[in-house]
Parts: sequence; C-alpha cells; structure tokens
Amino acid sequence: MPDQHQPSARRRHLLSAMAWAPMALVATSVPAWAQQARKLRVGVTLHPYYSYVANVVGDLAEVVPVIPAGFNPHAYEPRTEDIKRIGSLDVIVLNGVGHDDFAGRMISASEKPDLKVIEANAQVPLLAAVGAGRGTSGKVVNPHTFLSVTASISQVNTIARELGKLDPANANAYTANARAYAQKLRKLRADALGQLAQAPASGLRIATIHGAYDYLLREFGLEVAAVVEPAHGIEPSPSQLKGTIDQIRSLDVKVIFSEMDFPSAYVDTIRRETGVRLYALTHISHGPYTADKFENEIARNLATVVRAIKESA
Amino acid sequence: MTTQVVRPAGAGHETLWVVLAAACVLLVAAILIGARAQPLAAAALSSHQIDARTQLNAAEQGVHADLLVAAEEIAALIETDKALPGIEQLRGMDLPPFAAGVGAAARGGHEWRTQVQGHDVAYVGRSAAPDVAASFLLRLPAKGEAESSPKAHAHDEEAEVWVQREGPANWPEQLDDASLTRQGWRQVVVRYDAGVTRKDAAH
Repeated sequence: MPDQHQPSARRRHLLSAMAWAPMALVATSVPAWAQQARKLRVGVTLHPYYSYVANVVGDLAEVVPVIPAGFNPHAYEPRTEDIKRIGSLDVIVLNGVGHDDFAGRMISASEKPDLKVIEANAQVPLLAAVGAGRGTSGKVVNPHTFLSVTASISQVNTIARELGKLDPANANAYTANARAYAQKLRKLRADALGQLAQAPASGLRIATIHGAYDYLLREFGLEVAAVVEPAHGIEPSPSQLKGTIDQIRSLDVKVIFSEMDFPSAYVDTIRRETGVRLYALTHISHGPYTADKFENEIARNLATVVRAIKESA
Repeated sequence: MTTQVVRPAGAGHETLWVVLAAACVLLVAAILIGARAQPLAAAALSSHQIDARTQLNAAEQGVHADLLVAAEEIAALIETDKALPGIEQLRGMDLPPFAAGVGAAARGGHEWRTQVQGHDVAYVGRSAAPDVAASFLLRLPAKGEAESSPKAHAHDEEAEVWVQREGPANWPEQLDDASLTRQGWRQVVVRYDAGVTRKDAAH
C-alpha cells in the first residue's frame, strides 16, 4: 500500500528532469539574455527628454524615467525609490540648466554617485532667466530649452553624439535616428509657420504666465514682453499681481500665454482685469512618458501660437 | 600701614581681548570669502566678439540658434554627399534659417549665399531689415583641418557665427577673423551656465 504513493524510479527521473528544465532553458538562452543586459539603460528626468532619447535609441537601449509620471517637476522632492532607480542606470540625460537641479543630489545619494551624465544643453545658446529676477545674475538662465523645436534638435544631436561615444556599436544608428527625428520636428515647425499668411506684426506684445516660452517664440521672431510669475514656478503675491497687470496694460500686451498643465486661479484675475486674450500652452511635463509625446505636444503649442498670431492680426 | 593697590573693576582688558578676537574672526572671514569668491559671470570678450545671451535681440537669437543647429546638419550632409550643400538644397529641406517663408521674414528676411575662400567656407545671410536683425555669417570649420585629422567631425571643430550690424553692406571678401573684423563683423560667443542650484556642477 505505501508503495502506491511512492513515486517510481522512472517518475523520479521525470520529476527531476522537469525541475531542472527551467535551469537548462536559462543556460541555453544565456547569450540572448546577456545581450539584453548589455542594452544601455538611459535615465531621464523630464518628459521631453524621454521622447528625445526614445527616438534616438529606438530599440537599442532602454529609456528609464527617474521621476514617475504625475509629478510636477517644479515641486518635485526626491523620493527613496526614485534614488534607488538611479543605481540601475548606465547614463542619465539631464536638462542641467535649472529644470532638474534635484538630479545631481539624487545621483550623489544613489548607488552610482559617479554615473555618467549627458548635459543635453551643452550646445544650446541659452537665454537669460525670466521673471522679476531677470538680469540680476548673468548665470541664471532660462531652462525651458525643451519647449522649442530648434533647441530640442540641438539637444537630440548632443544626446545622440554622447550616447554614440558610450555605445560605439550603435553610434551610427543613433546619429541616423537623431537626424530623422530632427527632420520630423523641423517639418512640424515648417507646417505651423506655413499656416501664417503674413509675419506677426513687429509690435505684437506678448506676456506669459510661466517664463517658459521664450525659446519657442524666438522661432517666430517674437519676444516676451512680460512674465507674470515672479520666479520660476512661484505664484505672484497680490501686490506683484497688481504690478504685472499694470505692466501688461502699459506695455499694450495683446496676447498672454498661460499654462495648460498647471492651472492657477489668478490667471482669471488677469484676464478679467486686462481683457487680453489668453491662450494655453503645454509645458510638456504631464501624463505618461511616451516616445511621441514631445512631437504631439510641441505641434499643439506651435498651432496655438499660430492661432494667437492670426487672431491678434 | 599696608597699601594695597586695587585696580578698578572696569573691563578694559577684557574689552581689548574681545575686540581683538572679533577683529581676528572678521579677518579670517574676509580672507576666506575673498579666496572663495567666484569670478564675474561675464567673461571678458574681445572687441571683435559679442555675447549671444545679452547682446543679440530676440530675432537674432532665433536665427543664431537655428544656424548652430543647421551647421550640424550641413556637416552631416557634407559627410554623406561629399559636397557642400547649396542654399536651394537647404531651403528644400525646410532647414531654418535658410527656409523661406513667414518665419524668415519675421526675423530679418535674410538673403543667403554660400561663400568659399581657400579653406574657409561660409553661409552668409544679408539682412533685408537691419533694424529687425543683423546680417549673419556661419563659418564652417576649415576643410584643411578636418582633412588633416580625419576623425575630427565638424562639431568637434566648432562652427562659428558672426553678425554684422554696421559697416559696408556688401558680401565679405575674405573670411578670416581679421578681415571679417575689419568689415564690421563680430563673432557671437555662447556661454554655458549650469543650473545655479545644482550642487554637482562647477559654477
């Protein structure tokens, strides 16, 4: 009777073979697995950089957002799990000029304090910071290079070049992808400008709520006359708001660009007090990380600027 | 009779020592602050240079940024086609600032030409509206240098952008620094400044 419940020698062999099967599977697939492991893991901090890197590397590397989707980069405080994620990266791409200054502290606190950093803005001609602090220090620059087509192409080229140095086997593919992506972005800009029958009036005065669109507006030859936020990501106090409203009136501002992603109640006050048309632009810092996020949202911003120029003519 | 001199209970000596200690602290602090002072943000520019961030207007900053990106694309085209791309080709690619249209018109309506002199190659854009934007010149890295070091790509040898606000409105005859400077051209200098609240970057 007990014999009936004991596995026979044959069954024991079979069971042992089945138990070892997964190990054998792993052993035979080591080359593929190792190849997988050799894929670069590239960290990014902001949404547009995810799109840049994803388009440059395609399937040849993995893009890892360090900050989970849903966090506002203006108010982000590093979290333990995000710092831990840095330990798994081979390289990180940074804005580096003021929009992800938290990253340096995160990297030094991580398991890889010497992580290779790609300064995406290395070749971008930076503009001075905006807001009330404008001009107080020549070193404070406007970090929103990721909200324009030209500065984005420059960053894409820099990212492709630096990734190519780290991963020479795929360097040519990165360069080719970067050029194709740049061409796609240029087409978006050309299409938007093509919808304008005539150049914007030279006296077209523009204000923005967040000082983020100087790079974008320079592509239309436009300058921002006033910025409502007193400093990057800081809401104005009532007296500062009054000062801005007076300034908007005295400068004869025709168009104000507000924020789609970070709505604020005081924007309505400005609209009510000045009667100036408001158009919402996106800061491209909201929602899930996707490869086509940048091109979709910058196209939306370009269309909004074109509409604003047309309606103010 | 014994005489005992009792010094007044004033704190003269203590005051002296406290003042001395304070002076020492101030001196040490002054030396430390002086030693750690950062150089002025604006590096001194030569007389033939201007700063892209502070000395160009909005339209010029737009054209300048486009030219730097175009220089990379032109370098890539030279590498694949083994020939200098002409203005028509660049315009056909919608490559700003060469692309015609409203964008170009709003930023000075430059008329572009290629110019080759010896080793120097440049794209020169003469402004149709000098009050909106200056004339521009993009000088590519000299061919001779690139050939002598085949590994050096154009972006390692920086392309340069020059602007001309005044001076003769004719096309430049020579493309070397001295000749350009003589004709009123100024080299645009770009400065990179990392985020000021970054702890890891040198400021």
